[in-house]
Amino acid sequence: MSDYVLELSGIRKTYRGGIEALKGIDLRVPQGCVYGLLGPNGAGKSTMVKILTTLIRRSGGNGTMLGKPIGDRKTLQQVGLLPEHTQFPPYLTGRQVIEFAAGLQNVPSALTKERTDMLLKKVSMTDSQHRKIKSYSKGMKQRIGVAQALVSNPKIIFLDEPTDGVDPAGRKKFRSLVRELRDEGRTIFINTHILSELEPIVDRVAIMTKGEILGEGKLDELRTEKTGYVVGFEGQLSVESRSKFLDGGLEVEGGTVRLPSTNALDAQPVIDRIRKEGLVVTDLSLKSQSLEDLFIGLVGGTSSPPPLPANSTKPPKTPQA
Amino acid sequence: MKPFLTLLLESYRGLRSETIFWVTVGLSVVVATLFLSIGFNEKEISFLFGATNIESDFSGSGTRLVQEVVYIMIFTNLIAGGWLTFIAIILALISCASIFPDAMKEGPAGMLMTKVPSRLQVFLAKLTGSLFFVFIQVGLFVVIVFVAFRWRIGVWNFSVFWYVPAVLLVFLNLYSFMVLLGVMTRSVMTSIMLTMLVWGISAGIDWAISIQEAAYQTSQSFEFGEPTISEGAASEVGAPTEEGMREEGKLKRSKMNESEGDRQILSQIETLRIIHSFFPKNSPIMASAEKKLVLDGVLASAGGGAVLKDLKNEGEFEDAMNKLTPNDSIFYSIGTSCIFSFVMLSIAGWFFCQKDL
Repeated sequence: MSDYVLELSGIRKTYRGGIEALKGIDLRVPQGCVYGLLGPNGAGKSTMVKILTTLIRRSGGNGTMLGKPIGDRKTLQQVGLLPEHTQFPPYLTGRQVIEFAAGLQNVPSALTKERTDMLLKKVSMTDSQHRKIKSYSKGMKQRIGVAQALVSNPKIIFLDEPTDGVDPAGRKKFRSLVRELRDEGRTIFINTHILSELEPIVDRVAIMTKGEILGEGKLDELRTEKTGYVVGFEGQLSVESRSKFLDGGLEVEGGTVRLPSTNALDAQPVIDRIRKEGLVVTDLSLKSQSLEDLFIGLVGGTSSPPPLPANSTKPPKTPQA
Repeated sequence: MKPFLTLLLESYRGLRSETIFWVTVGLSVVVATLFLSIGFNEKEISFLFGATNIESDFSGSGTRLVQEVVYIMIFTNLIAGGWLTFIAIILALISCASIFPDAMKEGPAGMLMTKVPSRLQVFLAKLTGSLFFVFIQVGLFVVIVFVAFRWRIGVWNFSVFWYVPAVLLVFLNLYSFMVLLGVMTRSVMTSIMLTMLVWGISAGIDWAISIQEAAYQTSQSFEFGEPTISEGAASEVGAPTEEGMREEGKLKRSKMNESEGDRQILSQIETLRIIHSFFPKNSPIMASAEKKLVLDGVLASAGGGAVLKDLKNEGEFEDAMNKLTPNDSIFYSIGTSCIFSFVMLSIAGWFFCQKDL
């Protein structure tokens, strides 16, 4: 089998009325990683997850999941999903929800009890397992949601906005659970717009907006592009110097000048010019771009994606079936 | 198989969790128990296990038959005609109306449709769960009625169980249309309202056909039922007189005019029948169950040596019953109703499997 659990080529979705939610998505998700799909609301993230989990029919393109064509029912046994708007039957208890999911996923009866106990423990819901879902908080529902997604021992898990409405302690717990699942060799596909949640756990990200993927790759590789020295100063830079910096590809914002270089020697001419103007240099540090900066850089008002670093991958086109 | 059974179990749990489920079951038991509470002796009919009595003379030959006919009439006119045919079905439709629209909401769909069972399996499980709900409700009711027949008139009248498939089929006819609307609009209220409208139209057409048929039969009996004076006079004398011939000419013209009217009625009946053929045949189906119950009940008594023994042998009673029930054969009614349900459910199933959720 391929090293990729998910390979998509030219996936398109056009809703009635001609609204293009996905405009030909090419994507490869390697096995055993935490993969983040980032994008603002309406970017098409949920549409993509819904296509992969058969809730929506695609308008075009093709792809495979775990080596089988998308939509293959048997493959879904090895797929777990926590939907964006989790809604379980309110008359069931937490335990019954997991057992219900086990029944739907054809988990053998002999395994169901053992696995349910294990999952309840994993998501710290053993004490509340016999309470009805309707009495649960949002965070508890999310934890039961994660547990039911794991009941068939899936190889790939889709988590659609998993920490939406969850308290900080719950988020921390969630992050450690995701790491644990990755260490077990599973692939976790997280779909979110809460960037700070993703940053500590994600291995690869794809940034998406308006139905297109603008950038894809390992987080560190994507960051490298915008990592560089930042020179801080006090005072007002002259118009002449400001123009010179901007012309040289530097970013000037308030009392900082950002260089697209990790070489300290490249900062020397900038420091000299600032001092020549009689200003005081207050800071010189190597700063890497946050995921948020990266996201805003790619999504915020850009009509075309900036070039990706050499070692990050724009997913290659796979031949159409 | 396990996923399908899991879906069925969940459907049942879902219905059981609804207040209306218990209200409906409770009301069924109350109505059946009220029927059970009706008793007879030679002088009176008692209600509420003897709490209220109405004087009525049941002495003389054929007492058992009369009591049974009265008991069956109470059942067919009030209990089956009112409760089973209308109220129980309306409550069942309301109880089950939200099943499909709810299953297609984003949250539940994420739980149900992203797993091993296909959408068709989910659809069939939800449908079976709904029918199971009605089966429990009607089954419980009919069992109490069955016991009531044995207790009150000493007959194990198994024909009462015909009401279970009859009510299920009537429910399925209406529910299939409701499912189609529910799947297409995902609106519970819209599906309930439009289903009631279609039920009303169907019942209205049924009623209009009955009225027209009655009008036609009345017209026929006026035309051909009694000989006219002129016809009688002519036949008495043996030869037509001038006056007699004039009268006969008037009569012929009159008959021609009336035949024109009859033809119009027949044409209207035919048009109504064609329209009605596209609708489920709820009234004929329930009438068939009623006929079966009445026939079996009365013939059982007649078999004991009662007054209608001769009628039983000559089939006159059955003929009389046939005249009271609709003209269409039961196979036509059941067949067209099943086709209606099948078509509605096929379209609904197709939409359910294809729709983006």
